[in-house]
Amino acid sequence: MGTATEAPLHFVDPRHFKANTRAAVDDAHLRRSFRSAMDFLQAKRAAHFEDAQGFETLRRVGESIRKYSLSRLPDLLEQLEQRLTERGVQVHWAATPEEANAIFLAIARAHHAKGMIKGKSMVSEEIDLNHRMAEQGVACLESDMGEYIVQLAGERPSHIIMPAIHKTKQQIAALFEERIPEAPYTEDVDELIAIGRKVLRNEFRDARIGVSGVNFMVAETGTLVLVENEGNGRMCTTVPDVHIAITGIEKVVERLEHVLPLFSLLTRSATGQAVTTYLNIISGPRREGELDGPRHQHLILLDNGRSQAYRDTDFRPTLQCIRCGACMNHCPVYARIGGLAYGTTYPGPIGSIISPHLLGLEPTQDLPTASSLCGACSEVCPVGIPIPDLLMQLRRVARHDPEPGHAPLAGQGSAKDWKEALAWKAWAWLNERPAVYRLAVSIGRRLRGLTPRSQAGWTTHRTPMRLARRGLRDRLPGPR
Amino acid sequence: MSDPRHPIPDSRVSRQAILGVLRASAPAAPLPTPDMTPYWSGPFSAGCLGPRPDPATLADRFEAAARGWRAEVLRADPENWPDAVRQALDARGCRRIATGAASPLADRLDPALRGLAQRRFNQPLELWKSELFDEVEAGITSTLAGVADTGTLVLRPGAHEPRTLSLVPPLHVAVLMASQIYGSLPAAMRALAPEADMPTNLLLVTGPSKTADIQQVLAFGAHGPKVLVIVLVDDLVAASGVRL
Repeated sequence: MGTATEAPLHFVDPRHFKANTRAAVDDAHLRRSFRSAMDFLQAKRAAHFEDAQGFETLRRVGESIRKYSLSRLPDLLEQLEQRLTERGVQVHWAATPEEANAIFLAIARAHHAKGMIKGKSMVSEEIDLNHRMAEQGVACLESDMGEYIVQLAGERPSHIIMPAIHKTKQQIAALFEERIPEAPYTEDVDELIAIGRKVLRNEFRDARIGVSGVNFMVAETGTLVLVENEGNGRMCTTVPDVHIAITGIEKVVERLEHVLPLFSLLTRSATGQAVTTYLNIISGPRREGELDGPRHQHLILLDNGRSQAYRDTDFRPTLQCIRCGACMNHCPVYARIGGLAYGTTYPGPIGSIISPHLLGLEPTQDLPTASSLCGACSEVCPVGIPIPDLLMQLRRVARHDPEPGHAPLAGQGSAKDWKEALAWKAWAWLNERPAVYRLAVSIGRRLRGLTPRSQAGWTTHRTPMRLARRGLRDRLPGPR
Repeated sequence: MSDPRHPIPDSRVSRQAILGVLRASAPAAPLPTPDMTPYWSGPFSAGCLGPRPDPATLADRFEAAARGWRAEVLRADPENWPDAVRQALDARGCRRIATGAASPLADRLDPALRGLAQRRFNQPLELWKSELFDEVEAGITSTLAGVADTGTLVLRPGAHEPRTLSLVPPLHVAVLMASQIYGSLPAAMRALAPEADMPTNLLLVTGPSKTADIQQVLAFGAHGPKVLVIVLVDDLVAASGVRL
């Protein structure tokens, strides 16, 4: 299936975002699959929030829980660590992806494991776990059906909830036939899933280490909560002798009761389900007398730039996110270019506001500009993140030095343009000097015939700018 | 066991660094505790506040919702429910069955399973993993509670009924007492209050395992059970004197 979708968009660099968007927009096949997937997900979500008032009530509760949890973040993390440790879970802290990978590798070595079976975890994508472990001879196998497909194809997820959303069943049929021994070519979705189930069942049975993400952590009880439909998350956290969970430091709430409204918001916003098949609530490894469950359990808490977002109250709401993906499902930009063009772990509106903290603004400076600021993302956000405001702030921070009282973000000012800065300086200087200003304008007017017809980016879609024959000041009555 | 020759890196330095930044920027006083009342009194929390809804209507609502998620529901009375379990197994030709070694169902259930190859989960998983994965056709468990709104089962696995019993076999048969059905998930969780004594694993199950990862086409039996049969036992006479 050598279609255009497969060729150019693997492992792209966010620095090439603009070129990637052009390639994606020209790909009719890609646009069709995303359009239909987005329409499907939008309709499913809408069916669950027909009562706008009900949604608003639930969203306000969800937002207040996330805001409250963040206001107590360091306390809750310490409480969580203490409770989990009491339960026999080993808690690790990783400031960077390198540190997290070193912990994974050390655990694999300590258990003489040559591989790990993985449940869905976007944070593991963030640290590029699969490739870093492969370099060290530890094979990570994805077990979420979508992630498994994407890994077989050697690609990256294009959506945080539905990773293989960019692939058709024909492409998947060809992929399975080519990569899975003895798999026949079939476009029947039930048969395709049965093939994946059979392969992965043996892996669940034999793996020594299971890896998972976490949707919510509860500080008061020392609990990890996983939301899923397939059952692979339960397999990875129950069957292997070792379970390693990895998540971002922001995912903690204080009480178990705080999870329930967030769970309701998450599943309805993500896939338009009132509930998922499984809500897996784990509080520690196998206890004395129990007959299954992992004997060793680890939790890796990853920072990777989150504390930078936390540090500045302007950017802190970024961390309210519960990773439902509704913002991308409703984003007119994401729907047209798909998830791979962003070149980041998290695509779409949430990706554009979190990636600058994870990767710095230098490689990601174009992402916050990929928005018409239509506000669809914040309208559907189940925890009330003001995404357009955050996009605007990131645009500003990318082009300017820190304002007094604000510590610089990584890569701050990297989109600064000396010509633009100089032009504004000149403009300010002129405006402070009325006599010079009038003189300059009157000269400019005389020379308006010489205005260039092509003015950098401006004239690509607009008519050229030139000074008017008579200025506004001349047309207004009153004192000159 | 983990090999002491391969120590896991000490992450205390990163811990201090991360918590240091967070402490320096956290507000001096946390925000007020979230007010949960709008949630509990809202449309997603039926039966959470006020008197408990009539259990008979809850059972009907539960059945409809569970069927909506593709679970099969068999109604039974307190006398004949083991026969309903047997019927579900026979209907699918399941002969190799796993049950909890100390299941609260055992006394009543075991006679009904006569003639089948019943395997009691009485030793650690790793000693019979291949058998459970490759041979056992059905797992039977009890249920802590049900949720009428969504047709959800609340399971509390443990030594008596291990976690993999409801996960690995392709068929999961769950026995639910009608008296244990609550209106909504928050209503069930408030009544059960599991946080007082959190088990290793608490689990909510709604329908059989599923995925829509290929072109948004819904397919059942992704990695967990392909089929979920709920035997719903009308124990309301015994429980409250109310006739169903």
